[in-house]
Amino acid sequence: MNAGRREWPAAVLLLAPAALLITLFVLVPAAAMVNTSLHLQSLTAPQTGPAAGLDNYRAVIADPDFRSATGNTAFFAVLVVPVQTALALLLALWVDGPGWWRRVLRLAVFIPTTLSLTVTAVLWKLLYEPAGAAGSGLINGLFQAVGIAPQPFLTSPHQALLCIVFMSIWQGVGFQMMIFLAGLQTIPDQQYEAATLDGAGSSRQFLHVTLPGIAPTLAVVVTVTTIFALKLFVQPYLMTHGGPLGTTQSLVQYMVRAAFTHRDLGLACAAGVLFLLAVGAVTVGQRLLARRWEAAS
Amino acid sequence: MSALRRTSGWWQAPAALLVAALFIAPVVWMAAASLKPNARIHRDVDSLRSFLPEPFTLENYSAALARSHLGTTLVNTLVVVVVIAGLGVLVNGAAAFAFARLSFRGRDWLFGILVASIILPIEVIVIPLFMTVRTSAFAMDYLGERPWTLAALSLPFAAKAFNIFLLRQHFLSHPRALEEAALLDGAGWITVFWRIALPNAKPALVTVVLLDFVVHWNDFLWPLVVCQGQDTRTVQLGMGNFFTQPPISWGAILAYALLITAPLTLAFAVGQRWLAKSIATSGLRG
Repeated sequence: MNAGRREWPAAVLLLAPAALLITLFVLVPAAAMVNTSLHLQSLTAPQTGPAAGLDNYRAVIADPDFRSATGNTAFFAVLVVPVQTALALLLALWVDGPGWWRRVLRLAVFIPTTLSLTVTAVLWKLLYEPAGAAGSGLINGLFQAVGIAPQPFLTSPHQALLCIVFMSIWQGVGFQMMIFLAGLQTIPDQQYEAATLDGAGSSRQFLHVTLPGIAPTLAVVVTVTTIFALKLFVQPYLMTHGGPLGTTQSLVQYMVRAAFTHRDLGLACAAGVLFLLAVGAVTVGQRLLARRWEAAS
Repeated sequence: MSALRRTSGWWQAPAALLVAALFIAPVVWMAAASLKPNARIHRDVDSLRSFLPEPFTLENYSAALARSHLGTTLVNTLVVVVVIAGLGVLVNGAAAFAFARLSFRGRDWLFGILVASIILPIEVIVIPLFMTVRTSAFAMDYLGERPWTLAALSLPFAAKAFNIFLLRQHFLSHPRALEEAALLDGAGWITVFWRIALPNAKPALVTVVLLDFVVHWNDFLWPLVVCQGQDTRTVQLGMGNFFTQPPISWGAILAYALLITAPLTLAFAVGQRWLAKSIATSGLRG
């Protein structure tokens, strides 16, 4: 390409604005996070406090709240990622094709994704309301109408996180379905025709044509869904405040509380660094698995 | 033609409609509840009456408008989203073009790091980002609290690794002939980017703008951390206005929720086709 022409001055000019913004708002904060995690610092102190070595990390790891927040977040991700991905793929396969009822289903599944998490959380808090003096939420109302015992839902330590899992899948599955649907269109019809000529039934066609065909899309969807699940915040913050008994508190919520309720920036940043490492490790692990699987198939 | 398409049993249409009904039931209920007197919302829950806006009233919507400062939150959110998307197109477009067309030392290495950083969710650095942004708080005295807050809500999110990645893929797929001709005519790279590459990238720009619009219209955590005064709030934070003093009017809350969702539904209706396609085929993989 244009041998001999000096291209780096133009490159510097074109890259400078993005580089400046990313440095200012990603690299500087990231460095500040690592630095603060190694110091004692409160939210209100203007300057960085004394060096603390790894004390903040020890405090975070020993904190039972951090442990339960990690457990809750992991539980949420381990349920949401496979269920939502499988459901999205199933729905995509179902709505892929002609017919007015397919269009209706596609639209119905997609509509919840256009609600923000804030709106979804407030709506479902209302739907999940337990039976009380002032009446109950819609779900318990309908339960009562058909003779099912009323459930405590968000007020129960055993049900609250599952309730959040359920509504999160309801809200998010439509977007993944659309991405799978687009991925399915990239598989050439000839491959299905060839498989039919070879006498492959629909389950074998799925295994040998559809699945390899959407493998790249699947890898993207799983990665994106995992990151979405790990950064869980809005739902527990608005619906349960992390309760009951801390059973829905997430990692991001823990960080925000450490910084703004306990006013301990050192602790919050140490938790942030650990969270960052966890997100990185999970993503790299998934990528390696996906690559091995693609190489094998 | 996928596997399920040819297993066409008579049960498929009714089953699909049932699943569709279950999926939209909460949304239909929300719309119906927002259109009936507040006191009826909880009383109707044990029957299918709850899905009908009966007796019909718009009082929840007027209550929502009276209590939410909707005008202010809408303007704030629009300013934030327009700055992010507009500045983003220029900044990310320029960087993407440099990665797609120019050769310079360290390019592939730099691009590799950038792509890897896509997985970094903003939630991870929200606390240190707040610490960084706070160091410019002195500027609040000159700018005023509202402009300062709107800048703090928007500027950090204009440059985005994912958008650079998406636009670069698009630039790579452009034919080079037109650009080469312009270069031979003595145009510089900046001119080629501004006059030829950017105007030709419209489909990708639509995707990127739409993504920014949806994501930042829905932002909650960052505004929660940054916004102090009432007149700096965004639409999602505005929901909080309904919980500050009792009695909590669920009808008004649902009406407000629908009002702030409408612009998004519109944006999705216009652009979801591009969106899904350009993500599924972007080749973002390990």
